[in-house]
Amino acid sequence: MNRRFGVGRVRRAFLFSLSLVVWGTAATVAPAATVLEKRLGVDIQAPDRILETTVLRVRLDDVGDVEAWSQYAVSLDENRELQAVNGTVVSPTGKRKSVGRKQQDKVEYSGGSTTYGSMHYHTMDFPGLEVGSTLEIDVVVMVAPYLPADQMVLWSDDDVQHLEVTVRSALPGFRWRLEGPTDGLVERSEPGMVHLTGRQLAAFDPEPLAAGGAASYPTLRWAWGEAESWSDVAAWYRDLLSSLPRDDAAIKALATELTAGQETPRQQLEALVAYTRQKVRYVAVEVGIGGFLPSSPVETLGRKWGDCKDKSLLLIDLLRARGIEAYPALARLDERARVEAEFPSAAQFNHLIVAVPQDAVEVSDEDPLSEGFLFIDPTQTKGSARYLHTAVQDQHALVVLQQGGRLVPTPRRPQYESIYLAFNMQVDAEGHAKGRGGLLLRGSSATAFLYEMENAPPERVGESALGIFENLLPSARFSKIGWEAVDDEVPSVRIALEVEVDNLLAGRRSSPSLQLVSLQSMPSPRKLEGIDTTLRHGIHQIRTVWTLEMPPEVCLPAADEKTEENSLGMFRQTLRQTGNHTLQVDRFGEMRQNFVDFEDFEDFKALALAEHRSQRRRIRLKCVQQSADG
Amino acid sequence: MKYRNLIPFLCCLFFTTVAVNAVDFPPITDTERALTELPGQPGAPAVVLFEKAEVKLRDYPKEASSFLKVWVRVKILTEEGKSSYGEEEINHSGYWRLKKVEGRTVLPDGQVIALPEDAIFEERRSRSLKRFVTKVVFPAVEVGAILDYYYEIRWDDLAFLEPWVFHNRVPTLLSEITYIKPNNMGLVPWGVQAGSQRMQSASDKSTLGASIRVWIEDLPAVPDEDFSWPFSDLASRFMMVPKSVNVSGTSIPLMDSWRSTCELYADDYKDFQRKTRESQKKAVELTQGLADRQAKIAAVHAFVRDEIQTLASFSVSVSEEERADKVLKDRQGTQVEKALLLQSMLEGIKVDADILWVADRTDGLIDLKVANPHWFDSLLLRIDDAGGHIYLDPNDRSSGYNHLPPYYEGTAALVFDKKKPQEVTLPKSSHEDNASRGKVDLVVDTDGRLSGAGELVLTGQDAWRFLRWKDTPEETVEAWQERLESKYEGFEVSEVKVTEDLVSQQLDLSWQLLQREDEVLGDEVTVSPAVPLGPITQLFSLPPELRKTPVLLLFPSSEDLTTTVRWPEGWVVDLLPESSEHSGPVGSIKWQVEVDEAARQATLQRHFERTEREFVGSDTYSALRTLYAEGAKKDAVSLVLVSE
Repeated sequence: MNRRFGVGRVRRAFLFSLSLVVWGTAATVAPAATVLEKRLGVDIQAPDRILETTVLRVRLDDVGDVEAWSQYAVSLDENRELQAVNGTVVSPTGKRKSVGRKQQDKVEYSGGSTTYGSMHYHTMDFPGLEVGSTLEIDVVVMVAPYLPADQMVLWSDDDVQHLEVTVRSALPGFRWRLEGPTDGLVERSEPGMVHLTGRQLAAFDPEPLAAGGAASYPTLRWAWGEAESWSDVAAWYRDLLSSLPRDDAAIKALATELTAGQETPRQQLEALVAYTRQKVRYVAVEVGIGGFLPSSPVETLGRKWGDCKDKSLLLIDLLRARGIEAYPALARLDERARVEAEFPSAAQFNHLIVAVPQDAVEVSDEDPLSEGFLFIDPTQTKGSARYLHTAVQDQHALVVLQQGGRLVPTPRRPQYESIYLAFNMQVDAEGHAKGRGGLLLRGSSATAFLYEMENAPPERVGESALGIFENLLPSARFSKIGWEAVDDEVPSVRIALEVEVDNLLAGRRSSPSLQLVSLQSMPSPRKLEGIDTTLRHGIHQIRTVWTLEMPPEVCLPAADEKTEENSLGMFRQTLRQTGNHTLQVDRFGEMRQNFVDFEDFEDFKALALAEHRSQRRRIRLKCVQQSADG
Repeated sequence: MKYRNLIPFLCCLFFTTVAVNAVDFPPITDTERALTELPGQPGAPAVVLFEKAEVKLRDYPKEASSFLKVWVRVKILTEEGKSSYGEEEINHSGYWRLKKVEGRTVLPDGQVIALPEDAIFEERRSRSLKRFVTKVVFPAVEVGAILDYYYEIRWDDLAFLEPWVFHNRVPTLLSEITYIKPNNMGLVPWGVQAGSQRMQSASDKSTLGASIRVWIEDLPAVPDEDFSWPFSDLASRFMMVPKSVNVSGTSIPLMDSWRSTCELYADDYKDFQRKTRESQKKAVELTQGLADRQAKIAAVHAFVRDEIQTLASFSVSVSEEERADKVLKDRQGTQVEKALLLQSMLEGIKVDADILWVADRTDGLIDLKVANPHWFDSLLLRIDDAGGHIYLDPNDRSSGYNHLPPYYEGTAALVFDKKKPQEVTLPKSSHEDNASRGKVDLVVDTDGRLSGAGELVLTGQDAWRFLRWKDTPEETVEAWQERLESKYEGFEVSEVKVTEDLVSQQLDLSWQLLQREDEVLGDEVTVSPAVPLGPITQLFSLPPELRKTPVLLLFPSSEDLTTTVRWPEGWVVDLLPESSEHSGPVGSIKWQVEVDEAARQATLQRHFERTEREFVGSDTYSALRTLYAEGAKKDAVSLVLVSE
């Protein structure tokens, strides 16, 4: 419930899982208990006063439940004050025992991306738990909200026998929206109030490929006050930023120094982006409102560290100091869930990036452009402004303009996230193949490899590189492995080696065949069964090309091309003969968006099936020329 | 006389770094300023220029506390070094009190930027236990910057039982520790040198007492390799264990021997077991109707293991306030408390059990030559039985009667006894004990569709990996179904049956297979006969000449799988794996393939064994790597059938 814009880098969508704790789930996951009663209340009494209540009764059905529910945690912060907390264990024989003071604790822990934060937990340890015990938990928290909005994911991996959720507001402009799978939930509302009830709700057990958030779980969003449009939300953030000192001489001087000799606005932008990305290291310290409000750019500059907000605001001021207009853009860094465009609310964001109007600098179609803006994430450390990592692609970002604001879909650039595997080999009459293999990584896989190149001894890097090939071709022998960073605006790495494979061409002499492995672009069709919700499968391009010079006695198959293409992406397999009795098998898969909505599911399956089928059947070389048979 | 208040019943020290003096940072030398890379260690993100620690042990009873002063200087060498070393964490507690933290960043141009107070953050990990982490975020860190920091910890015990670790994950030019001991205390030095850099020492006397300084120079980074020994086994370490203290002319033994060390703990253990009436009553109740001694022991063991929740603890000490009956009542206790409770309960059914202090192998090797209780992190029970021993782990839910978890196998342990403690080595299992044995029968029908059935029996540690994998039988079946489906790509897996037997440490599994309709090609069938135990993948890609550290795996194991495939008339074998064998000093992989053309049946038998769990030295590593390479190669071959 305590959303912050400090979840800076790709792996940093951590706070969201923690925030769920507030809403009646134990800090550790409870696998199979039965929630007999779960009543959650949010009473918005004044702009700075919300009363949150949680009432839980949970029956522990097995040993795992005892462990999972042995501790219950309430999430608190500078603006979330614990008013009351009670815990009681009712033994199977009906004996009641309250949680005493000694079993309660205050725990501060900043995990994941946050170096230090004010969020903390009040924990209760339940003594004497045994299978058949029932826990009774009552929690009251007083909140002084930072945002006039919030949301609740009604997630539970326990069966819930009785659920009640009430959100009421004494303030004008109250609005709400229920999204996601709402089977079994009954909603009732009146002005200033929404009430949900559910009975005999089964535990949620989403498929591994399913997207998160509202795609998989019932999600209740609400807001109050005047911020009824995205423009209003932008105004709220603009007001928040207005408290910060800006327009500092030190910033201007630095911008001038960094762009010396850079003539065009684009060159200047690249220099300033590189500085912000590489010279200001990512460190997140989020205390109270500091979860939303950046440090002043001059402060960030002085210490040369900051989180996404700090780095973005610094970049904006550096750009503006050179006359390049730039805006903060509230974004959602989330590999699994999306911003709901129909419900304007700042509570939906967890990240801040930068939007530069595309007419402010020279741009090309290759740039991460969308609706007139060039999007830049200063928390990335590799690549130029041309590269926007996929975790913020295919989302929505709210560009906070000087006046108003615009919710803009972020760009999709599959070509930034690509892997290209190639083998060039000669096959002898015995079916053994010898030649070279290569891998070109671009985007996040290249970034990870570059980190390893920079920080690990060469033998360790070589081990990683070799491991990729050894897992692809376990029966092959490899030698002379080498790797290098490729000078490109998108992080890129090239790996090359020599390969020998026994029996690549195998089978009966009358009909030898090839089994050529490929990198997988799509999930196995089997894994798509039973999914009836939005799923997440990242934007990318993957290509595998085998170029095989075959022995003369072997006939090559006829040229062939199979293509499956739709709005989501494509898969294509091409068999062709090139010069010198050479067979080339080229498999290319592309996914053009991060999320697949249910209505596009058949298209997604078609792509997955096309790829799967192409790899299952061996490539048969139907004849062996007479001369070879003697 | 009770001496237990003199000694450290310590919560663990979690120092990420440790090392000496105080106040002003020494001037930066020209050599330090000029350093950009270390010869032979390219790509190191940072270098520890020095880390020094000074430990002043309490002069009891004149002084109130001991102290540790640590002084570290790090130089950032790469961009990655900025984020990896630009922040530091210091663990402390109400007991290990952090008294001072200072730091600074010195930029390449010599500019000094002090660590501001608002860049030091104290995180209270537990208010009730008074545990803290102080985080330091250095300002203006850039490549070439030098980071200095200093901190000071005080505590009230007489000892400092954590070994000083000289090595780091980055190169270290100088690492040293100085112990200043009061004149009334006797100390036993202990050290282990990893690598060729010599541990040096010098003694001195000062007004504070006698001191010994121990240091090593030019230490390389400890390699971070897959399946490596724990860090501590690869690092040079040193400590001084308190042997005795002289109070008012009386020499009080501390950790002079295992006997005196046990004595320090005996009173607390005794106090814990003072209230055991309810515990023993419960033991009697649990074993009512059971005639067999083994069944009785197993029942009590299972109760403590499963019904008493395990709370984290990091030492062999027990709180003075805890009692066995209270742990029983609360249904929760630390590993130590659970072991003592189990001992008390067994006593209630007239079974004598010894307490064993044990150490997890994955946390590093221990050396019982010094009587340091900190070597150990948990307790087991040992019962004499017909000339042999029965072992009980009251904390590991997957370990049944007389089963040791693999991380304790073969480790040094101590039979706790204040009069006659005994150093022992815990037994270890062989690859034959830890086995997966199975068979899979597949049939191709006239449409080219595969169907069949499989079964597996897991024993020993192979079973341990999966026993109690899930909390309920339904969840267990579901998990196995998912696991099998991931192995049998293209098949529907059904009728999964799982039988777990914790007492005999065995798991039986069976399933049915049917190729998915859309996977049927009609004229071609491919079977991977290594599934579900294989195919093996190469885990050791690093060539032997580059591997620097020994390999530690959890346990040795063996696998046997027989796959039978039958096909209808009109189908022929297109591709067949060959019978082959690779046998080496650390294991073997063997495939035996037979085809009966008349019966249209192929039988493929696969045997894989890895006979050791630790692999030290280049030759042994090479043999292990070859075993996996051969295994991967042989397992990769499929049986292909085609219709004519």
